[in-house]
Amino acid sequence: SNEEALMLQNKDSGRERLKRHREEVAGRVLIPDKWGKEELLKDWIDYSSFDKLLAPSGLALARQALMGDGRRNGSQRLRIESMC
Amino acid sequence: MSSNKTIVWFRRDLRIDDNPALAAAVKDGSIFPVYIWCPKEEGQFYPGRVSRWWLKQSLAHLEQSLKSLGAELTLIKTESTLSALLDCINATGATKVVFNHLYDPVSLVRDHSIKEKLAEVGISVQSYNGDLLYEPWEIYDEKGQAFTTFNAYWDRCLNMKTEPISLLPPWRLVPAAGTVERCSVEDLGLENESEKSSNALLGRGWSPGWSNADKILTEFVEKQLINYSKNRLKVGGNSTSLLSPYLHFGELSVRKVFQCARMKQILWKREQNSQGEESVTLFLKAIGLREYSRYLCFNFPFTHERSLLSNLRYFPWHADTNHFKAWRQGRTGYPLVDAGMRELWATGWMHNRIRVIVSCFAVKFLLLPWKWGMKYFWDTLLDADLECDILGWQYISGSLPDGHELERLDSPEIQGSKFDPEGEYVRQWLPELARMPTEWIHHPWDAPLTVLKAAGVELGLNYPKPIIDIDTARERLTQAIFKMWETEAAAKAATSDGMNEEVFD
Ligand SMILES: Cc1cc2nc3c(=O)[nH]c(=O)nc-3n(C[C@H](O)[C@H](O)[C@H](O)COP(=O)(O)OP(=O)(O)OC[C@H]3O[C@@H](n4cnc5c(N)ncnc54)[C@H](O)[C@@H]3O)c2cc1C
Ligand SMILES: Nc1ncnc2c1ncn2[C@@H]1O[C@H](COP(=O)(O)O)[C@@H](O)[C@H]1O
Ligand SMILES: [Mg+2]
Repeated sequence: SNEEALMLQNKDSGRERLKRHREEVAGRVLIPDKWGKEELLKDWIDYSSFDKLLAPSGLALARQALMGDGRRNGSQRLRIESMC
Repeated sequence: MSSNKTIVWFRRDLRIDDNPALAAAVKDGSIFPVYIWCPKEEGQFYPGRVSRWWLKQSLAHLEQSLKSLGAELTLIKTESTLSALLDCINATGATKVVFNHLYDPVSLVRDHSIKEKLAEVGISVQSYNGDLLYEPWEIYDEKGQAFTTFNAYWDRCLNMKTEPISLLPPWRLVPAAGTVERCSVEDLGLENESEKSSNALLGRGWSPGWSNADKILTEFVEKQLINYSKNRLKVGGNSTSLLSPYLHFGELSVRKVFQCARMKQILWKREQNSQGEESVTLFLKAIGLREYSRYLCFNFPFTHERSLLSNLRYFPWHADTNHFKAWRQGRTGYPLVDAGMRELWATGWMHNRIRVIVSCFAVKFLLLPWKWGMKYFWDTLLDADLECDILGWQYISGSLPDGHELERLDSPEIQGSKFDPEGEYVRQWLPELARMPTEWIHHPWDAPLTVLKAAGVELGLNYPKPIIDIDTARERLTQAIFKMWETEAAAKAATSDGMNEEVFD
């Protein structure tokens, strides 16, 4: 369409903007000497809490239930028109 | 149209078109769209600064679109998602809640519990697939087992009988009346005062929001996709689609991306454009890896005895915070690694190849716990996505049968000469090396003093010496792997002793 053609010509497209942004910030990257994230990291150095997060209790049940739901409703998937 | 009122709970599906939950609710009557921000429930997966910035922009965008279609988005900040949903139900008299699935462990458990609690009070809950081409439980091998290699998995997906179908966007939304305590995007607190200046810079490079996602997709498919197979090998510049943050927040439907690429594939096949065809195949494979990340997390969760990262349980990590800091700051003395880490810090994004190189460096050279690396990525990536991130670390750490072996150690110097042969990428991100000749750019430690001098580089002063040399790194990695095997064997022996004791008891 016309609009699309215009957009494709547009120098200020997303990709161009990002490229310019990269050029602007490169070389001006401040490496914070006093790193602000040290505090946050302490939590993660303890693996047990991390593992608990990736494997919260009730996960097995939640998976089973979702699969069950999904299989029951699978056939009534919405089917409207395909588009691009 | 019936008079049903439905709460549409938006999460990581921040779009209007091909949104199954939204489409179902619209077909059914009036709707009450809501986004609930509950930092407490995010726990340690509280998103990092750049990811929250993206979310904020994307919500503002969605809010506008929903308004212009006739229904306002209610934003709620709360300590309990369930109670926020109940407030919405009470305020509107809705009898139904709909949402699209998420597959990360935290969301799975939360969503299940919410479904149960709502059912208890007589609310009907329907959830849909808005995030994937196929649900993780739809793809199994002949024996009904989950696949553990990507190619076999993806082959099966591409040969499924049912094709993924996209839904048209609604034209008009009928709002369900009701008032709850709501807030503005600003009030959600997604951005601290102290973060605003750094974030302003992000806004110059990136444009979040579903309609921007559509534009970027169109431009990519029309202009860059054809060269994807060639361009994706370049680590600098815009060589890939840059769609990952949009896909993470569901601003773009993966089905739509798939269909657009498929259309080109058909066209280029007819035109016998083999580069175009190969490009689409590889791009679809990238989309397939995103699907696979959800698939593996879902089918091999971390509680599972076949959990795919459990091979690392006995690895003797070097929990050295100084090394970790040098890695994060891009001060390891390996230019390609350092350039990548500075790009990440400055832009919130890195090319896949660079992600592989820096994560390998953290694990194989520095023996840093992979979870530290994953956490840092989580905090700094604009497209931070738990499942993709985990898949990436699995891939490099010997946790996948078709990924890198644990003992594989890639030299950043050689990787540099392959993927950044002119050294442009390094020079862009490491101004202290800007004047290094190409010959030495990826291994300045080997350069003659005169060369260093002429380039203004003083190793150990304005650019670090290598934090560890590759031979030492290789030796240490080998030792660590032996140690891991030993500890694992000892642990196994101990548990089988334990079992024997029980038996004899
Ligand atoms: C250690 C490590 C950590 C990673 N962490 C993340 C993360 O937090 N979030 C994230 O979205 N991706 C992550 N990736 C995957 C990949 O690097 C990015 O998706 C990709 O670089 C995004 O750029 P693009 O959109 O231009 O990709 P394209 O090459 O244009 O690919 C299109 C889309 O396919 C998907 N995709 C591509 N490659 C992969 C892959 N290897 N794994 C899973 N999905 C893929 C993404 O959704 C991407 O947007 C990680 C990879 C590694 C090795
Ligand atoms: N089997 C796999 N599992 C997970 N990630 C993969 C797999 N194969 C490829 N990848 C990712 O995709 C990237 C490109 O792969 P390749 O085209 O094989 O070089 C790799 O660098 C990985 O990040
Ligand atoms: Mg050398």
